[in-house]
Amino acid sequence: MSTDPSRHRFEDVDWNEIERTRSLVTSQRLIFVVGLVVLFAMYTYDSYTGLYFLGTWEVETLDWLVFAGLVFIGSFVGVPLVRHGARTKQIVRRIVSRPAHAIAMGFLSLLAFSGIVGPAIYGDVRISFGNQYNPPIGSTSKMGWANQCAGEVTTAADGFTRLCHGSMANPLGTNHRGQPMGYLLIEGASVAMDVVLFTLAFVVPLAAIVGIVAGFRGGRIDDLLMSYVDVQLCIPAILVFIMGYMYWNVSLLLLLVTFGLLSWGGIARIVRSETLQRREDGYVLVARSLGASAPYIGRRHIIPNITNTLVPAVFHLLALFVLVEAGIAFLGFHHIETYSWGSTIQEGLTLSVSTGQSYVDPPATSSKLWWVSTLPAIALTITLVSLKLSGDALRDALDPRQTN
Amino acid sequence: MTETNAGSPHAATSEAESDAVDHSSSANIEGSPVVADSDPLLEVRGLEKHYPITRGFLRREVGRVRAVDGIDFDIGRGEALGLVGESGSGKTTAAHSILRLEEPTAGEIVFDGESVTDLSGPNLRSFRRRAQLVVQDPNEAFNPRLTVGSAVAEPLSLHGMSDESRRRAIVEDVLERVGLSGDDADRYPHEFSGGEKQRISIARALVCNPDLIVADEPTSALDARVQSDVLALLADIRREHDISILFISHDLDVVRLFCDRVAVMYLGEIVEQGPIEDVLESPAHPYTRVLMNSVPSLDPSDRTFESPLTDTIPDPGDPPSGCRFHTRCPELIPPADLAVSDEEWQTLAAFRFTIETGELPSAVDPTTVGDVDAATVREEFDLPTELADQELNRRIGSAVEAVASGDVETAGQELASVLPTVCEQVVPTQSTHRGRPVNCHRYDPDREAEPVAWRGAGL
Amino acid sequence: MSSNANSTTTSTRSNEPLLSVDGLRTFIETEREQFPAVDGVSFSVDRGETVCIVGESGSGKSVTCESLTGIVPQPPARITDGQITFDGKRIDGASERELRSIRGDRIAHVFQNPQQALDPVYTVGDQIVEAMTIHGQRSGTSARERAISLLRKVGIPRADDRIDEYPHEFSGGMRQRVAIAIALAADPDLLVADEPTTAVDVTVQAKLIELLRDLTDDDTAILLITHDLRVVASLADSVVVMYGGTIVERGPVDTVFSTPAHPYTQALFDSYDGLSRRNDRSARGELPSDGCRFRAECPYAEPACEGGDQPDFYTLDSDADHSVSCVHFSPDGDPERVLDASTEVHSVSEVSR
Ligand code: SF4
Ligand code: SF4
Repeated sequence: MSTDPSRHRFEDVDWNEIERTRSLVTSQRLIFVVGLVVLFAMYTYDSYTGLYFLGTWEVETLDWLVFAGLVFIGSFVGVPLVRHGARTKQIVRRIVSRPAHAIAMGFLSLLAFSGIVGPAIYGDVRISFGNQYNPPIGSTSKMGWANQCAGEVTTAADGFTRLCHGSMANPLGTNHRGQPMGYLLIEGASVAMDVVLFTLAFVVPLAAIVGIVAGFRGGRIDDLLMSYVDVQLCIPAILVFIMGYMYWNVSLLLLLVTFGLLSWGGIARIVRSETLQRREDGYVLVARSLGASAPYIGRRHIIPNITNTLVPAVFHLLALFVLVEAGIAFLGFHHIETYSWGSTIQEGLTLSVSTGQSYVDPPATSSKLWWVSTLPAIALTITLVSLKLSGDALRDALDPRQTN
Repeated sequence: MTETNAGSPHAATSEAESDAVDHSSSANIEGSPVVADSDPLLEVRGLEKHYPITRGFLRREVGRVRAVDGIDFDIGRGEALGLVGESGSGKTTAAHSILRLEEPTAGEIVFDGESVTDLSGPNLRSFRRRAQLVVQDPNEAFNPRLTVGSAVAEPLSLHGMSDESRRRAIVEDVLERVGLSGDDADRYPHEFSGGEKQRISIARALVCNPDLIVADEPTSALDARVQSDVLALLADIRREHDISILFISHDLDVVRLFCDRVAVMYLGEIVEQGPIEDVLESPAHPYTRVLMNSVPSLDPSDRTFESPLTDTIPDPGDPPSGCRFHTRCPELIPPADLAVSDEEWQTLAAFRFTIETGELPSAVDPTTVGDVDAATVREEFDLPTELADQELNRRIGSAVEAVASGDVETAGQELASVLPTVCEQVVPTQSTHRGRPVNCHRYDPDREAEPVAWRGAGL
Repeated sequence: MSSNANSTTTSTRSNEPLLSVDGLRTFIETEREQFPAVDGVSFSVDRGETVCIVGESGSGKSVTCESLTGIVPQPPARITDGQITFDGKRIDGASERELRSIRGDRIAHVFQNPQQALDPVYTVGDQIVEAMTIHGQRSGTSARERAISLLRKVGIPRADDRIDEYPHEFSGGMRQRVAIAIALAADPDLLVADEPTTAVDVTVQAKLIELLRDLTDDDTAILLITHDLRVVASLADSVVVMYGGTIVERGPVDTVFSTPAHPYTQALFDSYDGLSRRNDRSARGELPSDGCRFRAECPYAEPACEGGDQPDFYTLDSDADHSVSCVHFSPDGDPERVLDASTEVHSVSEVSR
């Protein structure tokens, strides 16, 4: 077939035939639809049988939404990445060429992996107050009278105080409920991933679509959308969240929906102004004269060209949401079974309040039990820094004009 | 068209006149010469594109920019038509309307026997494949994030060619044919020079095997030699594949090198069109002449330009009444009963329209210079001190006084009433000069004014 | 060579040129390569004279002019060699402070895109006044008056109103006029204009050319960079033709235009006469780094054109001021072979005559 010379001369293309065999199915769309159908089937199965898919993992509404988001991201970001393998490799090479960027992206990948897969593997960890405050490896803590220690127990120099040593059983120690810190960190990572994925799958596309439509259509539609964004920017999301907190069940979903749906205005504005600038560019004109649809132009010509401003802005928003979630949890407005980094930090800082009945004697100060809040704080900090750095890394890697 | 005349004393006449235009123009064009003997590939009839000027949140329409205001032309199969005019003349808007990048306000565009405005579905798709665009600035002609290979393949994939290896083969082939190499497909636009980018632009326009290429100033950003290379390529392609080309430019020199016919646009209207040699040999419309005399000569001993009466292109939202060029026309028609020489008339008319556009030269601007006396005004405008006609002399004098005292408005009114011209009162109908349509009263056999002989570059 | 430095002189009022450049060399260094963008360029400009440097993009014409006052961005550029004398004083290797006092004050620049010179957040009046005060000229109301008179001089109507407007309120051509007014603010002796008329309509271009012509009547010298021979013809006293970082031909405008001698200059003229069909590969190929830079494209190239430096300048018999860097014009060459091929060219405004 490839030897047929008429196949590569544009004059010999039979457009009538091509017109006839035209199809609307692309691999992206196909994977997206199939993914959604499978997900829906699983959802129905889950809600009717109530059986566990994996270990003892309870799949919640938010998880389903995040799954849908994953299908969306997988089909419209992942598939093109796989299809254009050479380009993807080049992007990866560029990221790897800068150590700071590579480390940041590596950390985020680790976070994503442990956040998505970790909870399923860990399952539900029992609370066992007896095991509270076991220290991490290489560290010791004073033990209360009823305290159990998974590791070695020694007597301190005073001959009276029992010291618990860290052990492989709980390499990072435990908190006041006796839950291993590793489990809490992974739970926190999972919460952070929920925040990130929800934002990427729902908030950012919403902002991008509104921005592109406003910039591309202009006129009255632009006026309307942008006035709405103005109004929305004036509504404090925290207020809406607290109102929701008072009247409905508190959940991470509530937080994501209120903050997510009220905070995309900034990104929509960026996208709109960039769209306005590019709308009259030659390649957009040519694409329009070829009959390309607005979504096509937005996806192929506008979004890729505004990554210089959009990508850092998006990663900034992600970092902000992760921080906001941690902050809200720190203040205690979180679901009691959601082990966010924020709530773990808070519990580590106010031991006497959170422990209620203390097994520790004498009541410990937070500085003695440093690992409870320090570990999640470190995780949170690295995550925020990684998000910012990854934003820059992606921006640079996506721009073919950057050399090296 | 008629509202703009409402204030003039001849409103009624002009209404009748402009009606006449609408009928006669379509009748006239039918007989206009077309290079190919078959039907033209593209016929444009009465094309209009107006943009509403809106105000307030409810977007109430308060006016209209008549970017394109009723133009007619044909492009034969394999023919190259140059559309020439200054920026703001509406030439690019016209091109965009033809490609349906903008919905025309009125008029008809017939492509290969079918009305483009009615197309939809597969027919529209096929039109979009057969009519291609080459844009002006090579630096923004390509998405910087895509390789030129995918840019050139884009028309193919947009039109449904899903076989990727075939697309690639066609792209490599067409890149070689425009003078690049197949391997260039993997490079990014910024790795190419301006001339090469424009070649790639042409490749992208060519890849769908079009019948019409609309080239919007394709070479104006390029150096002379590269420009002539790119034009040569375009000319070869046109001949080889029998493609018609609508070539938009502000440079008559380039059009001379490339086109068979030329249409000159001013403020949304075509003022003259015809075969390129004829138009350049004896340009009929005063605007065409101004354009020609603005191109500097390659002869260093000839350094004169002939300037229009006033420099400002009027606002297309409020075009001048009558003939739209009348505020700048060096050949403005004097009233029959005015006893002045041609030179005197020209200076008087320049005086009048400079006052009317409000672009007072600063030397006579009373708000800054303080006391301006009549002599300064006369000197600045080169006004004759003694005119044969006593009445005229007196009234020009009073206008000069008014300008000197800062009352520009009164001066304007005075001048308008003492120096009336048919050009501002009546919309010119389409006349014929040496077999080509010209929109100027001087070529209308029913008017007294005679055409001014073309003297070459302002000699 | 050095005897040629003054060859473009046409004015005899002062025997010393206002600006003379001798052996200027500017390298551009990128991560991948280093090449001489300007490779040994010598020319001079007299008081009140208009010199046009004509060449294509990549010929080094802009870098040459930006090297004069050090406005060429360094890095990537590096001025390595050359002697620049302005008004009797060496300014090559001058400190940034000295250069800054010359820039704008004595030598002013105008660019293709007036936006480069105009700050969108200040009124044009403020910008002209600023340009005057930076160079220690007057301030206050007298500065404003002078700003208005400058705007008038460059042909902006209603200057007294428009002085308080912002750059975006001016049309493209008017903006270029404002940029010229700013350049003139400090009453420079030399105006360096880089393609000032390239981005505008022909009618506007005609006006700008007339404006620049008027300036030389006031004894301002102009160094104009352009790729358009038509602009050169309408403005220049003398011409410098550049190719590949070197000058290939120079002389008074009349003789260069009546007898274009260098094969490259001839090729430039040819492109106004019809559609050229160059092999694109050669147009795009690397420039030879020795010998005649035009070798790869030259129809008259021969072994003598290879090796060594760009050929020396040889004067034409017809005009002692007109010199060409081509081996065929050397005493033992055959200039007629090249000159005979030179064709007559016409631009559109002449076609009908
Ligand atoms: S109609 Fe009058 S104003 Fe218009 S072009 Fe002809 S002479 Fe000039
Ligand atoms: S020196 Fe040789 S290559 Fe250069 S222009 Fe003369 S003939 Fe051509």
